[in-house]
Amino acid sequence: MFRRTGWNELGEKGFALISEKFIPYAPFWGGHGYSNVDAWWGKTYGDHRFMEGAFEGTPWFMHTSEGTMIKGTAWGQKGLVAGLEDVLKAYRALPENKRRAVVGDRGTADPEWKAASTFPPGGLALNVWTRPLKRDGKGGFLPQIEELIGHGAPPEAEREFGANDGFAIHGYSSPQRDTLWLTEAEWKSLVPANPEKGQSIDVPEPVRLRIFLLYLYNNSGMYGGFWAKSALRTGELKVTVEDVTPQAIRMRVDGSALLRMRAEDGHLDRGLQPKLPDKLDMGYDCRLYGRIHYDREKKAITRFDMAALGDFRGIWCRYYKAKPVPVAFAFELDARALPPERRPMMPFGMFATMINTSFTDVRDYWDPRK
Amino acid sequence: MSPLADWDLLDLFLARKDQAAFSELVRRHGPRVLGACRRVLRDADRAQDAFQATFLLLARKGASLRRTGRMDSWLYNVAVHVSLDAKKSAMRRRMHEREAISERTRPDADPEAWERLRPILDEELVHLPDRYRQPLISCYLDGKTVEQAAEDLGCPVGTLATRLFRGRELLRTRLVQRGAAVTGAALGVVLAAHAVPAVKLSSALVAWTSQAAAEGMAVGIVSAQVGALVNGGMKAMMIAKAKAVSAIAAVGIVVGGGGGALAVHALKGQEPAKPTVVETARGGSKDELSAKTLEGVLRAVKPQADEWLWLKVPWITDLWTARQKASEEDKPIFYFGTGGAGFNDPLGVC
Repeated sequence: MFRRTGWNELGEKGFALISEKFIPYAPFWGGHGYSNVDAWWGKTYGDHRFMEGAFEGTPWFMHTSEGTMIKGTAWGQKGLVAGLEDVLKAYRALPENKRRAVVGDRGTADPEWKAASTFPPGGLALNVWTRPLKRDGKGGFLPQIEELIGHGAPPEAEREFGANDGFAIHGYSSPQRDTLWLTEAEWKSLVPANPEKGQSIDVPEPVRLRIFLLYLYNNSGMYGGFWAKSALRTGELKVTVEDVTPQAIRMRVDGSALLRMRAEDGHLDRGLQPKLPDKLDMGYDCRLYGRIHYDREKKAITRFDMAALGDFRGIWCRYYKAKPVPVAFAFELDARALPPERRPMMPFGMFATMINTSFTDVRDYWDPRK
Repeated sequence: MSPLADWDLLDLFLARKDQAAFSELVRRHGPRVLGACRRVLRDADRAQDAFQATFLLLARKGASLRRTGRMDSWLYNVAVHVSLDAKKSAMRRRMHEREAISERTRPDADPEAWERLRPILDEELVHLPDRYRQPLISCYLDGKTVEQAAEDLGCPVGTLATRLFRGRELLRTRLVQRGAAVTGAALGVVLAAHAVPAVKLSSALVAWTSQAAAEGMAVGIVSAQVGALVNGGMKAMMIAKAKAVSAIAAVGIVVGGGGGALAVHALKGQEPAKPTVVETARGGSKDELSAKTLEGVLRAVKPQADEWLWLKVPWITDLWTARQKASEEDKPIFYFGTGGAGFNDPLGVC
């Protein structure tokens, strides 16, 4: 069964059904990292003609471990959940050799992929969210949705992003996600060994540059916005101890960054964005502020909340925004018990490594000064 | 004795007008060049002209090319651009003759995927980063196995396979932008089905091309059409070089500044031009972030109640793990695919 969809269309009942009765698989598009896995993927999904046209939406496929696609009626009138029930019936009718494959070995590993997808032991993962904001008139902010679709964008953008049963609107207007990885040594370096109130520590340069150059970019689409190394004009980030008790150290993190460049310096792919004007300048002028709590008994950081807020100008989706837009980033501790592959860092995901010519080697991630 | 490297052969030719050295280069890279010219032009005679022009440009520009890149990549880029120039010239001639012929295949009018892709395939391939373009050309257009291509390109088989996978996805995205809707996997199938074994070069073509290179395109050696293509290519390179001197990163002008990836490398070391427009407003929204507003800003950025609901599902991102689990638990796999971009990804992990 195949269907294109908006993400939330299934609802709570549908997601529960997928979680319990299916094996939910969402590919990490950095590739599969092994020769046999890539080959199997290509053969299994490539042989199905109904994948034609799937580009414009998020496709669902239901298939067995052996690779047999299962027919269903999700296209019909009974609704999506009923359609999934039909898929389960069709699955049970298949012979065992179609349902329960002997899965072979993965083949040759790709060391480059492995390096970019292996979470450092003892490391810290921070969720990174970003979206444009608008003022709420009471001194605060609200998510900005109109900015993405309507404001300043040509009519075709509105048509394009406003189509597809809410899929595109939801996709673009939701906050975009990423994950920041810190090694054990890096996060420990943020905590003073002998803390005193008022004591200040500069965030180590590799971490600071990683945050500024690889995370404070507009990832509301794959179409540009990566910073070149030369884009960082000024930037500082420091941690200051605010309170010390035998149980905990409470710290403030604050700083600022100014990023400016011509879009081409970040390897703008004009082939993908034919409507862009000739000269594109990009900039993000922001402040960073946050709180870090360290539990001295657990010897662990238990809170890491940091925001970046500033005016962004540059490429947005496939269009250029000359008028600065307030854009914010939220960094938060990822406390979920998830395997590392569920927390990959995007700067070395598939499209990032292809498009961002400033950072093509995963070693750049750990030390962007190189 | 191991064969001489491409750049050594070129240097030999440039230093001594060694026709044999140039012939070896034509034999080595001619099949790929001719294949690209044929795909773009779809005309054997005009493809042969573009082929010759490509190698003559190598002879003329050879002394100024940087030796750090791959010659086959440079030749491929030049071949595609020379062929596109030839195609445009032919179209102009036809329009002048009032022949209402459209060279461009209309994707909707042709049900065959290969026919949709062929006219634009090489145009889009040249825009891919070298590390992804080379595996695609080697495996899909030169017909090499993954192992052969890995050896040829000097990287592990696994790396080659992954670059092939990624390159195919990027190429697919570009093709979709051109109106040729095709999925990554389907693209692989189509390309694999149409992978051509190495194009056979006639010894006459090799000799003719090498002689023309050695004799500096003397009158009577090359046709007027080839001469025009070479001159057009030289002009494009000069324009690109001028732009490079002006520090404009003309990545899109692939023929220029040493061509394709070589042009990019040449430009990379230069100091980027300072932006002229961006002057973010003094103050601006950054001044509104403080201890008092921190929580509100974080709340506004992070998912709202109705966003990212699908994250509640315990997605497995490793295909082999999913297959093994599905087999063990006797359950079907629910594949939640992506359009390939971060915004369009169930997990935001593109």
